[in-house]
Amino acid sequence: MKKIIKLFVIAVSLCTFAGCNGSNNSSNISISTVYSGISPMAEGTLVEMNDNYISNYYGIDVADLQEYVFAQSDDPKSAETIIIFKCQDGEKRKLYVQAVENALNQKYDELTNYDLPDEAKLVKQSKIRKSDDLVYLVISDKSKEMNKIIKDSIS
Amino acid sequence: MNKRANRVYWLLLIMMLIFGFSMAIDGIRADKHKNDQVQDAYAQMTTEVTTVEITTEMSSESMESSELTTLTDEEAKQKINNFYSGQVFMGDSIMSGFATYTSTKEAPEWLNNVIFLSKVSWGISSVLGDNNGPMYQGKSRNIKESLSMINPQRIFINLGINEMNGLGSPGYSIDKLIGKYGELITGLKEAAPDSKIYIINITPCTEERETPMFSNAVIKEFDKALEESAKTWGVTYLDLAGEFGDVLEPELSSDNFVHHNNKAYSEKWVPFLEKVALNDN
Repeated sequence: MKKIIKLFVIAVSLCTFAGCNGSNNSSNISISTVYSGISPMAEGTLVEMNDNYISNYYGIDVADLQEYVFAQSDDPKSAETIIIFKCQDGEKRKLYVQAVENALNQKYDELTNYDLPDEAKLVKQSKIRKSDDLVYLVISDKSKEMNKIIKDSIS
Repeated sequence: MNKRANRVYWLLLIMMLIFGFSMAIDGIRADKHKNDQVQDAYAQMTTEVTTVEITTEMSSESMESSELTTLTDEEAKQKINNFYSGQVFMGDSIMSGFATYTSTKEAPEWLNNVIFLSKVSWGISSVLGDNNGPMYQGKSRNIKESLSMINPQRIFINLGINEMNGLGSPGYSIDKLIGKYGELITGLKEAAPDSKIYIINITPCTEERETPMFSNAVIKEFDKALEESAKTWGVTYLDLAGEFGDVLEPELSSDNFVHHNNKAYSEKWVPFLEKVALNDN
């Protein structure tokens, strides 16, 4: 009888741990919630870019994304950008990460040529981050804090 | 022992009967509850349908009345949309600002279908040779490559302010800059022979930031030369600067210099471009 009770307790514990693991998966995170948490920290006014712009500029078909936000400053001389997207298709995700990297290089090129070294420096310091099916990039004076919030929301 | 077994047998039988009886009662109760739930849901559904019907009727009435009064507006909207849908807007940071404006709530719907090929710090003389041109479809490309991919009917260009002001691009005299503009037009015509080209003139700067080298008088002089040259190049000259007047009012600028804010895009650019579309035959 004791053996049966022991086995029952182990089974229940295993099920509970499995449940905890599942709830930590990044696919359960709402990107819009994370974005609404970090966007007030931005220095300037951020504009969430529309689907047509995302498609033309990044070559990303938003239908491939589970959730996304592509926001940039309304001032073209500012580097401030927040990009977070979730894409389950690994191959497409690779392509889209490449597109964001190309955009990052272009932004650096633009701001350097325009003689905005501080903004160009922000671009240079920023890094595209990945976690499971989630990809994110923050270009901002507050990128350290914003990236931490995104990371903490994931883990 | 037999008597004992008999008792256990009867006890088990009675327990089974009680269990079966309670199960039957539970089943009846569950059915009743289910029926009640279905009835509730049905009642809710019919209420919702009624609500939807009322709303639909109200919407169609208001739509019909608005259609009667704004029929010309609808046609105008359609004409503007058709004119700009899939067309290219090329430019520098002022155009990049316009591209971002298209995603704001104030922007009209027709702007959603415009393709922007703009790059901060771009100038007339740097466009054709720039292999790291504006991003299109995920890649920084030369303008000729992007145009051959898009094959637009119309190309709208707004460039030159960076070279005039010597920032980001080399400072040129007006004559040299017009010469460079001519080279750009030739190159674009080669890349997109079927596209009609429109050149948007250079808009003024704020009075406060004028210098002897970069002033509204110099911008006006350049625009005059551009208008003359447009005739020889066979392109359409668009006087957007005329909408702003002699100087850029600070309330229309994002940096109190040459860049435009959303108010300028909403109140100057959009109505001007809509007029261009509506006047097109």
